[in-house]
Amino acid sequence: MKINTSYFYLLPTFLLLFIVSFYPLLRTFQLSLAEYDLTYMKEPKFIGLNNYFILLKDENFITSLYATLIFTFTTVAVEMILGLIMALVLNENFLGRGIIRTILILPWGVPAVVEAQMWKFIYNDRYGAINDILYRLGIIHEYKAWLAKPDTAMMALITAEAWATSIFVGLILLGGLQSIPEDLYEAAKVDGAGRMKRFIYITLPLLKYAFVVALTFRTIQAFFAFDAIYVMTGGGPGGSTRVLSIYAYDTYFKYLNFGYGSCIAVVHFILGFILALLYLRMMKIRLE
Amino acid sequence: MKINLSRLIIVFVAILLALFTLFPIVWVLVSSLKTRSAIFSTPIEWIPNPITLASYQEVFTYRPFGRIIMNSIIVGFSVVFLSFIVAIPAAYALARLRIKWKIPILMLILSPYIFPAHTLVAPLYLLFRSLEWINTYQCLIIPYTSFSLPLAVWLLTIYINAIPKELDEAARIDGASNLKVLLSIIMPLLKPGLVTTGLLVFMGSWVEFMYALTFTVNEQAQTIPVAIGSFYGRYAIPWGEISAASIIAIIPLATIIILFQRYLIKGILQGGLKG
Repeated sequence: MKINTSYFYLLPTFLLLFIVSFYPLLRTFQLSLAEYDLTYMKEPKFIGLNNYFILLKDENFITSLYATLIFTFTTVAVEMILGLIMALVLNENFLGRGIIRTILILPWGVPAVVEAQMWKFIYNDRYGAINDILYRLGIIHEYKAWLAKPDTAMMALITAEAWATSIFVGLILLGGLQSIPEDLYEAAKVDGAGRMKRFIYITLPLLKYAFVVALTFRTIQAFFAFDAIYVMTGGGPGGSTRVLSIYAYDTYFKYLNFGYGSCIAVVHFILGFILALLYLRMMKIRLE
Repeated sequence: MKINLSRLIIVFVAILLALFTLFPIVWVLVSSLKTRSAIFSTPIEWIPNPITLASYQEVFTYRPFGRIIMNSIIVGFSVVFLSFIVAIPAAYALARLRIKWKIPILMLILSPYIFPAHTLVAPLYLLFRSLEWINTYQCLIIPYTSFSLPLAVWLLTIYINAIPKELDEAARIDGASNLKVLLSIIMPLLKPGLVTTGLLVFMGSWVEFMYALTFTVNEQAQTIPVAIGSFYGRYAIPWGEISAASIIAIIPLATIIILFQRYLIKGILQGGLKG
């Protein structure tokens, strides 16, 4: 019998993926069924679904879920609008388009941590740019501690995240725009359709697919976002921006409670998975 | 006249978007060039006077930022190198070799793409702790390589598929083995694909935060994002140093983006999104 050596080419990939992705994922599921407090326990102790029962009654979990949903849907809504505007602008021919495109792509080169620090500085209550600008314009009459109040802290996070990632939506939508055949517009022009009509009856319907792709990707990423929030607010003030990823991370590494932390992570993962499935379903229905 | 008006609006919106995008970067750049007392003064001086590089100097003298940059570079290049070694054969097998269940295998390779970092970080921490790997390069290089694989394998498969099959069939008639075809036919033609993939993988490694935060302790293995995320001063947040370090962290990626934007945009549109 001759062995098909072709499979050997896949071996290193699977080995790495197994050790660093699949095994830890399964292990997190397993730890979510255990009590494992690193401060005094050597080995995890199996306790069945106990962590999940605790989670259902955990007020911090409910507020975290709420923060996650607010952050995700507001950020994505802002990004879809900004992204669409970016795509429409970049799809036009004008002098300096290349420079504008390069500028708009720059946030891609900014690590999330740096993005967070930049905006944290901008929103700083004493030396930040926002207070200075708004004060000079007469919009506010005294400096505000933007990151110290729950609603403005969330707003600051959303600004930072939309600043960093709207361009991804923009690029996907731009790809969609560029795949719309030019003759469609020509034909509509001959029929006397104006700019607005062409946009509503040709551009928007044909952009649907790209729109749903961008929406799905960004929703999942925002739902699991961690880096910028952790650096900018750390979940504060008073837990108002403590999204689920931060709640899970703090439960692991601040409280060293690996069992309960895993439980939060698993529930978060499953919720994200359901969200992704819902979008994919929507995509299917819309395309039919 | 009407056309000119709509053109004017487009250019106006474009400039607004560009200003919004540039604003934080310019703010940090300006702040990085101020003296310490100018940073902590109100109202804000929007044009630094005098201009000074003191913050940049402090980042390298008061803090081990030189070492930290080196860590990021070493980790980044190792990850690109390793992910090539692992992903090229896999992509080659998926694009060219006779293998059953190609689609399910590809799906399986792509699936970790959606595993959020915090669902993996705890077991990995326990694993690296038991191996006594905490605060070493390998506890960053190995996970980063693995997390780059979905993107790398997927992109390289697309690039190999785009190479005409007739070329390897001709070589096979001459008796070349699978490995020979990969090395002598595919590899030389794969260069553009390797550039795009390598850049995206490097960028991913350069910006990663959660694992670096968890698996490293000090400048022995810490990378740039962790260092910048944890700059604290004794009395006040050292905004000058944070600004200088931020500019240093942005420069390599901004350069890559400006030079290679066409490749990169094509890459993420094909391979999904992960910066």
